Amino acid sequence: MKFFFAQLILVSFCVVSNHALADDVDELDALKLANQTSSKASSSQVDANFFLEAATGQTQVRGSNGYQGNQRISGDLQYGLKLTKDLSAFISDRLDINAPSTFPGNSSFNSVYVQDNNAINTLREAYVTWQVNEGLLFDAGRVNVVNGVGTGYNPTDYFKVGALRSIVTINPYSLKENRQGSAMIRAQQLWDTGAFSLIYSPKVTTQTNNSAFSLDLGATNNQNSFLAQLTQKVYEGFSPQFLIYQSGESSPQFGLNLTGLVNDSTTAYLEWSGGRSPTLLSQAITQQGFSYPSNIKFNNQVSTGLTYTTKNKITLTGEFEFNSAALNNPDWANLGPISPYIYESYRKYLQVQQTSPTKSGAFLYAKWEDFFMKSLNLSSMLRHDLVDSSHQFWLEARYRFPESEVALQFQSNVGTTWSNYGAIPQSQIVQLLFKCYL
Amino acid sequence: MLIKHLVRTLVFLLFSNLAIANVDPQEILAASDAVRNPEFPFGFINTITEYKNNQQTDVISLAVYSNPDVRTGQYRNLIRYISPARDANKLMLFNGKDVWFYDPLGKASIRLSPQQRLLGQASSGDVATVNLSKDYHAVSATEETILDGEQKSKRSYKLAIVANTSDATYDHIDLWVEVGNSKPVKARFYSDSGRLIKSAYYRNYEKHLGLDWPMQTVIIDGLDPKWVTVMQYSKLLKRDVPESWLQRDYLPRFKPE
Repeated sequence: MKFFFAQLILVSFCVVSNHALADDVDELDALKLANQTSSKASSSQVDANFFLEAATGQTQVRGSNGYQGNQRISGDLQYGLKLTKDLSAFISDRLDINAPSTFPGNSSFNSVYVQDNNAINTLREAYVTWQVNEGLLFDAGRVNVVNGVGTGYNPTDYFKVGALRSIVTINPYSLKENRQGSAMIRAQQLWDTGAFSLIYSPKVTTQTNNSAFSLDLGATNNQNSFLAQLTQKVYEGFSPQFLIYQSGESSPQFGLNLTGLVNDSTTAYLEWSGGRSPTLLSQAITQQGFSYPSNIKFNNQVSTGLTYTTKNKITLTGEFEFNSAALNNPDWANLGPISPYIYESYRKYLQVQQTSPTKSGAFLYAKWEDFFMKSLNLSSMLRHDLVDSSHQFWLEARYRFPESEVALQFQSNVGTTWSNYGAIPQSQIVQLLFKCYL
Repeated sequence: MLIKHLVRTLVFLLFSNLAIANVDPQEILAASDAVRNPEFPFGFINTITEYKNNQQTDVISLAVYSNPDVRTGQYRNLIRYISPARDANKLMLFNGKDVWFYDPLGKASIRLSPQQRLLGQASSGDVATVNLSKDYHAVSATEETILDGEQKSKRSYKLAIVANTSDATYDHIDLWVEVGNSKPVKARFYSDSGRLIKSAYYRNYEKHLGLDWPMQTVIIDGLDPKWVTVMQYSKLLKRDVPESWLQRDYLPRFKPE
């Protein structure tokens, strides 16, 4: 019996020590591997990014058989330069060369993105900054001011109007990247727990210009605009942002951005903008030079959602979007069949506004990093219109090399004839992209 | 005879692992923090190299700016991607659980949850400067002689550390700290289920800014020991990291220096 217990104890020790030995051997291997690591560190202090992108796609246009091809080459540059101790300059520009010049399916009847030239240049930013002291800064020039904590819809992103010159993909992150800023003067004061900004964006011209290398200030600076924004930390982890925006003769619009941490894997956000305004339909019709009842009332725009991250690097965002100035049924359902011209004018007006034509929608975004293999990311987006039940689906697989990326994208727009997504001229788009960082 | 030998061995093992009565484990933990973390704002370059199955799979280079918060004793960190080129000049701000990501191309600041890691196997707690003694409590210290990251024998305190705030990344940690100079030697990080998440070796100590710094941390995955991440530190500098940098509204303003 004694011998049996002695054996049992010995065996237990052997198991434990073998396990420890295995750990030690693994760790020793790991440490030997680490010895190969170069101690040379990259320490570039250059404020610059430059990449080239090539794309080829096939588009199925509604009402036509088969697919139509399109190709694109783009060059994208961002460069910051310190001129003196207090003065710096920044430029950001993108050139898209498209063949054909207008994306398959787009026409002057259904889209504002119709180009005469194959090339379309977007001067996103060109401004100088004067840093008076650690907390006080002034900017002058064209600045891309992006506001809002929402993912798919940003009611407080007031300078998004007229900011897009060319759309290369419908991913909301890409739409924020590939847009032109507004000419403005900005003053910003930063302190330990917050910041205050004042922006004046002057009226330059009302004439938009889609020629290849136009600054297109008529798209971004067609009326005088003012924006004041204040961010203040209330307590650790909670810093609300308040905004007041006024443009042209319109009533001031008020904005609020809130974010919070629900738990270690979930963030919540709420973005709201409200103020007295005409309905979007009224705005679209009067812009055409026709008279239409303005129906001015206090309107609310909301984007609210949750982002959840799983332990295996899947990030899921669900968002509810609402705009009380947009159309609801039955007005929306009747507009197209009764007046196709007003319907298309309304849609084109909202392309410029970057706003949905209907009152409410749901937005889902999912990203899976290292999808079954290192450096392969899978992203997917679904926009569902809660008024007419049409939807837009987008899927991307992107493999990231250190200095380049390859992506395959698929987009599908599904719905009835006059619905939000069913009326988009392209029913399906497949696109292959190659991006090279220099 | 055999039983006697086993009993003697067990008694020795038992006594050698008993907590040491005259040392305060929390003091040892705080002293080991002080070895790695100066009390003033500073900056450094962290180059993260990842290996899987003995093959190098990724290299990321980050500029880290750390500023101790006098109120909490914890560090706030602003991190800029230097390379690869696809991520250059992207920013991350770690201020407790307030984590923001900024992409200079899209100009938008996005709030992240602590779980939304952007650095592969290395967690924000590995990359950013963190005082373990602020988020964890050392409950016991035992003395052990172990092999360090350079395979040298080191007399160490083995600290059993448990999380004492919800800000803590790990449920509990075993940390080996060298006796006499408080240099961290090795750590094992565990989940609340007791699973080993990863092991880390702190090695290649050099004198910088008046402190002994481990210039390399080797992280070995708990499930897959063939998944190895090496964090190499360089260009340690005492530098100003103003409070006004450490907020979302500053991120679009940040310029590499």
